[in-house]
Amino acid sequence: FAGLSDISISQDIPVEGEITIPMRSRIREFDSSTLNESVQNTIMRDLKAVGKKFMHVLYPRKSNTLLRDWDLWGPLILCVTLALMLQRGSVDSEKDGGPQFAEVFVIVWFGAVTITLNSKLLGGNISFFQSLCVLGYCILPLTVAMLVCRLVLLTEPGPINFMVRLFVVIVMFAWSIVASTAFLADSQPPNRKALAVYPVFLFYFVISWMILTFTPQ
Amino acid sequence: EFGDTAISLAANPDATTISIEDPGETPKHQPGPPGGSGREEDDELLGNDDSDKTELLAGQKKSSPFWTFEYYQTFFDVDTYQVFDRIKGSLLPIPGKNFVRLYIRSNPDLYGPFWICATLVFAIAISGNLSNFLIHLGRKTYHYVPEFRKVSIAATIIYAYAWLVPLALWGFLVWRNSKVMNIVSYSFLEIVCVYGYSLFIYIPTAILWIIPQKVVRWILVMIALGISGSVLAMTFWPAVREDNRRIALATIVTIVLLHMLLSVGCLAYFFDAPEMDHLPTSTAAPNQTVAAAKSS
Repeated sequence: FAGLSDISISQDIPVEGEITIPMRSRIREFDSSTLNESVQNTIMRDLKAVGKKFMHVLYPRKSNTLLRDWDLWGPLILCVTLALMLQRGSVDSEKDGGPQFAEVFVIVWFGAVTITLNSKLLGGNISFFQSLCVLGYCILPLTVAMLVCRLVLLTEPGPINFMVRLFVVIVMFAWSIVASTAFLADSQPPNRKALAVYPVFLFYFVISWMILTFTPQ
Repeated sequence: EFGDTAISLAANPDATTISIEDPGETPKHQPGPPGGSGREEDDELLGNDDSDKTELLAGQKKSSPFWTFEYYQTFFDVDTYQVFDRIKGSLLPIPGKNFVRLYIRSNPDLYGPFWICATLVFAIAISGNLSNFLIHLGRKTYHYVPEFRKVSIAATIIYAYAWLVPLALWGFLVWRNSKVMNIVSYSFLEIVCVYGYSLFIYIPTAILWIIPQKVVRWILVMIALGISGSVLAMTFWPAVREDNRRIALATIVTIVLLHMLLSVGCLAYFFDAPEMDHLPTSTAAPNQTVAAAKSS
């Protein structure tokens, strides 16, 4: 400490004070809000995001929300619901009956992946998961159609029964196509739009066919 | 051969001609084809030029290594109007016009074959299901089933046909090429492309097969086979005609036979025979009872 006495510090420069990082308190608050929040909050936040996207599908406008904040929860929920409702009642009754749960699942996801690959190979500038997200969410009208068909099938069978189901499925099929085209068409080069949209049409047509031909045991 | 030359030179006076009696005259390269047909005639006459150019172009295009995404993008480098043109070309076979040279022109795509086969799979499965439903509609013992298994069977059949038959044909042509120098040779993708587009006619045919009349169905088989068979025959005839006449004919006959086997097999497996008991009695009574007995 002998050498320190040579250093002279003028008395009027304060060398004490507080060092604070301005954002620190806010960051700590953000961290604890996602780590320590209740499970209900986490689930509700994701559910609200999914619900918001459902609304965008039901009232399709040209907006970027579906593409920007993509998630695959919605498609998973819809696919599982659809597959549960479409599967055969008992496995051993008819050999050539309707699709099984796994078959519906594979068709939906494999079909969506194929359409996405097709649109990327044609030169579209949409990312893989964004396209999967859009295609999955646009199954919502067809899932609603499936619910309606199941309810209608509880009444007695007959041609009116079939006509109602046919009408509902056709309307929902058109709705799905319009919704997905509104989101997907802009990402394609203009001279290949039809080439990219046709597989979407085929995909929803096959799903509509599976819904329409569903017969309960 | 000489008759063709005289006719085509008369029709196309601008074609390159080399006159031997005047040694000072240099052979003029034709300034430009006066329409698409001029190039076709020249192709038949001069043979190698176009195929050399196409080899170069093919080499220039597919330069990315096969593990990158860009490599596969070159197979989807088609616009909407090109796909429509190719489909139109497969529906209207014009004698003398080669589908590959006219429409594909060293830009084979995989979009057409893949999605035409996918549509055909679902068209056959769905039409078969609908037709069976309509045929058995009145019977009390019939319970409608969607027959979903048949979709996977149809997919296996159609995709196997669309890929394995071109593979076998390509291998056969390569082998014959090593023995006999052919003027026209096709790459594997061009053959897959031709086969894919030639299957397009079966989509409306499958939908029309819903009509439960045996005569109508067989007429449809004949029409479809005629159109797509002639597209295939006219495409592959230039590739084998340099060869031994018997082998060339056998190749073309095999191609058409396989095509017929596919269509008749699909008709027999996916579509039940229409039973005649719903129809009012007509004059051909013994045939109908035989048909009803066979199908029950």
